[in-house]
Amino acid sequence: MQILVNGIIVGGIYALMAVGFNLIFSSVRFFHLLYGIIAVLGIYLTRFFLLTFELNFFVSMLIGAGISGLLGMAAWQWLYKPLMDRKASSLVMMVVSFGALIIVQNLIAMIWKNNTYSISISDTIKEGYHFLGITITFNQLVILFTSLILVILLELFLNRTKYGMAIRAIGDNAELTTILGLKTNQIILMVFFIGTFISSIAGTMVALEIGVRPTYGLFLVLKAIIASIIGGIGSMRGAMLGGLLLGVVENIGIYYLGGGWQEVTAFLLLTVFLLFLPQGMFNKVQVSN
Amino acid sequence: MTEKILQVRNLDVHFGPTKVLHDVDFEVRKGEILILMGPNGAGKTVLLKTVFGLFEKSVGEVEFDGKVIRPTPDKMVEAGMSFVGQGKRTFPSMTIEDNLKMGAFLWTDKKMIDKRIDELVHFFPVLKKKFKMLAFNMSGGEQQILSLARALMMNPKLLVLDEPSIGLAPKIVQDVFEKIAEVNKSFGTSIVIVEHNLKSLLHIAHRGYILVKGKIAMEGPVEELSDSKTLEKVFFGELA
Repeated sequence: MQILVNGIIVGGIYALMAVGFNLIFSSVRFFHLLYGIIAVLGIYLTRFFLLTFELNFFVSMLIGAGISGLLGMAAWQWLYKPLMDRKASSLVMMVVSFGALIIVQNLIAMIWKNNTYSISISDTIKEGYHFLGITITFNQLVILFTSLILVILLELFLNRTKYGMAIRAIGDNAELTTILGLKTNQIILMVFFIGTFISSIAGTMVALEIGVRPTYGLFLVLKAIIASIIGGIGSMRGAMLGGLLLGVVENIGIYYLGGGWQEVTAFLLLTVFLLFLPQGMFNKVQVSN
Repeated sequence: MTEKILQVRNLDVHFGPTKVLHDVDFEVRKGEILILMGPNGAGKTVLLKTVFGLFEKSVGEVEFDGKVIRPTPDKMVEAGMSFVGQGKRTFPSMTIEDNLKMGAFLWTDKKMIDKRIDELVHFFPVLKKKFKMLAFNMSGGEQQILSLARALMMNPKLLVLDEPSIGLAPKIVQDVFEKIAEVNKSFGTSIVIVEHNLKSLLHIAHRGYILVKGKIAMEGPVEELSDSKTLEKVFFGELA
């Protein structure tokens, strides 16, 4: 039971990462690898506001996520869009994104050193809560509720608002949205802001649980990609479930095989899905833009 | 029928060094159905996409409803032009209701949107039956009807249809064209259709243009243009 709870908590973080990644992927149809390192940058910014200005944890996290969101928008407007306008292929976009990830990673290491830092909400609360034979820490509760609240808010936004509908429409058929008179670029900018904002919060949750290093960007984006593929790429609900399943399976792997097998378990799960259910759990209508 | 909804003057379009439209003059009158004909590669779609702002013009002027306009899709939609392109016509993972709502994205009044949806599902009963269904589950003909209804959401003054019969069975093509004629009569919408399937259109269209190698080769009433000798000339290259 404890493994399951731990798995769900880690899975909640993966689900957030996957949802943000999927949101962006659905709109632009290439792997935005830079996503992972901007999430890491969000963690460092959160830590900066927390320690330098002694702001409340949640306020620091929101400011960090907001700045990350703006950087995500900048990446679209000044890095990806000019290439897309020149008809760059999705492979070119991915390579450029990877290059940018390495640059930002090294910049973070230059500024904040290549050490592992952790973030703590409160020094006074160390003891976990015990019930039904399960122990859950305060940090883990924060992770659980933050993930849940964000996922619910995103679902409501996508399904109940006009701009949410426009984002879903772009994921389905971007050319058609232009024909209907929508300012598609503005909506994609919105997608980059929301996706990156979510990723930064997910990153901060990682820092609460295991700490952060500049090199975690690739690790985070890989987890987002695996969860997205498992869930069904393009599907938000699939990404959430994919993230949760990945977290649970990884924790089972760690329990039975040891911590060193965490990544192996994740990639084994991915391989199983690619072999037997390549379209993922939620087979969203296949649209090839 | 002589008042013009769209007038294009001296339009040139280049794709890189290649000139694809040469000094095109083109007009659509209020309330008419106009066919744009021509062999493959003549520039029909390029002409309409340029007028709608999807391609950049090199030279020329576009006047819509009495105003000279520098076309971009959002401006043209706001001015009252709707475009239904070839190929993927719907948002497949969205319901018919949401597909229709997307057609009036620029409107802010929810009541107005709901009222218009109500009018259109009465006009196209097939949409009423499947209102909450995903567009992905509709047949090709139904998807074409949906795209037509979505294009009518903002009550456009001019509706442009680029090869609406592509991929449809002949019987369904007939149904779609009948609906197009009904739209023209009921809403007074001016309509431009790019079409190869001329026979099905002859009884509903008023005028036509023949475009060959990026130039207007002929214009006039449909009866004249549909004369078999003229068509032979167009499609066997004698008008080029």
